[in-house]
Amino acid sequence: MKFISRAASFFRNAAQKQRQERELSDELSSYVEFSTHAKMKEGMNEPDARRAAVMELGGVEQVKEEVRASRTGAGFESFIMDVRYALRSLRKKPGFTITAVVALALGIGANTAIFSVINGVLLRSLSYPTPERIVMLWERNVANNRMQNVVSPANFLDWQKASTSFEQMAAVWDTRLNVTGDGGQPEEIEAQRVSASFFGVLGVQPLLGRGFVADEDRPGGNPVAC
Amino acid sequence: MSARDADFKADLLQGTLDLLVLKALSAQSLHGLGVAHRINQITKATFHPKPGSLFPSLHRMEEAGWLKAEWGESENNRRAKFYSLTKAGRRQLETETEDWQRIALAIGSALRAT
Repeated sequence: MKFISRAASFFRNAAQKQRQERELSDELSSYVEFSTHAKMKEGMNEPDARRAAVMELGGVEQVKEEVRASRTGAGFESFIMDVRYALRSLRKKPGFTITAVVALALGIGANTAIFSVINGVLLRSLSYPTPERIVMLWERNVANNRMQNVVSPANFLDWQKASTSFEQMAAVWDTRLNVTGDGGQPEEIEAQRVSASFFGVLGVQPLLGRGFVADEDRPGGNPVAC
Repeated sequence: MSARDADFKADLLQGTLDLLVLKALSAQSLHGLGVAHRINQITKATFHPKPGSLFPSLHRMEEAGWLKAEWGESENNRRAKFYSLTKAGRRQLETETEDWQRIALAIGSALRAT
């Protein structure tokens, strides 16, 4: 059957469902009637013949169900019926419903939390041209067994000069600063002090103005606002 | 009829009932029980389709446009739904007959093979 005629009979079925149901009842009861007559002709008395005919039909509701299932749109109808049945059952057993809902909520919550971490840490890469080549370097404090010791500035300068494994190296220092606008409330922001090659390491340029150059990154160099 | 016979017949009917219904209606229009009796007759009492599979088949083929149904008076003056073949139904009967004969031939020769 082509799609259009399928769709047409789907809507016809939905609209004429009541009439169809009535006709189906009529059709099945006339079946029983005829079958009874036929059996009486074979010599059965009426009650026996009727009982045999009903037995032969094998349950009016079952036959109706079979016929409904054979119609187009039956899938959708039975889906709706399944949903209704599910809702009824859930309402009837609140204890079970609450347990199921709590279990689902915990499951979904835990999954979301784990995924958020994995997404941030593993899946979504940094928005720099070559994020896979940017690394953080730390000093290790052997005496105190601290893995992320603060790097002394002199050590950093030595690394920068002697290392051949890195294209560029920049130093960063987390800090907090106050920003004041045009007479507005001052606001504390998270900031970083960085060395001149910082933007070069990341491979990006500031949105406004320019970054600083090596000549400005020395004691007594020209300070610039950026 | 033993239970095993009943199973055998039900299974066999699964694939062939539509074809038998089309064949039963090829000579005249019939109501549900009439179709069942006619099939019983033309299969020499091998098959007697149960309402649980007969009516779904009739309704499915009516929807497919192979059968048309009309309410009419039966022999004992009771309202009944009479089914008859449409043009598409006759074509379907021809196609299914050819298909069935091809299958029967193939299975037959396969079973005779040594």
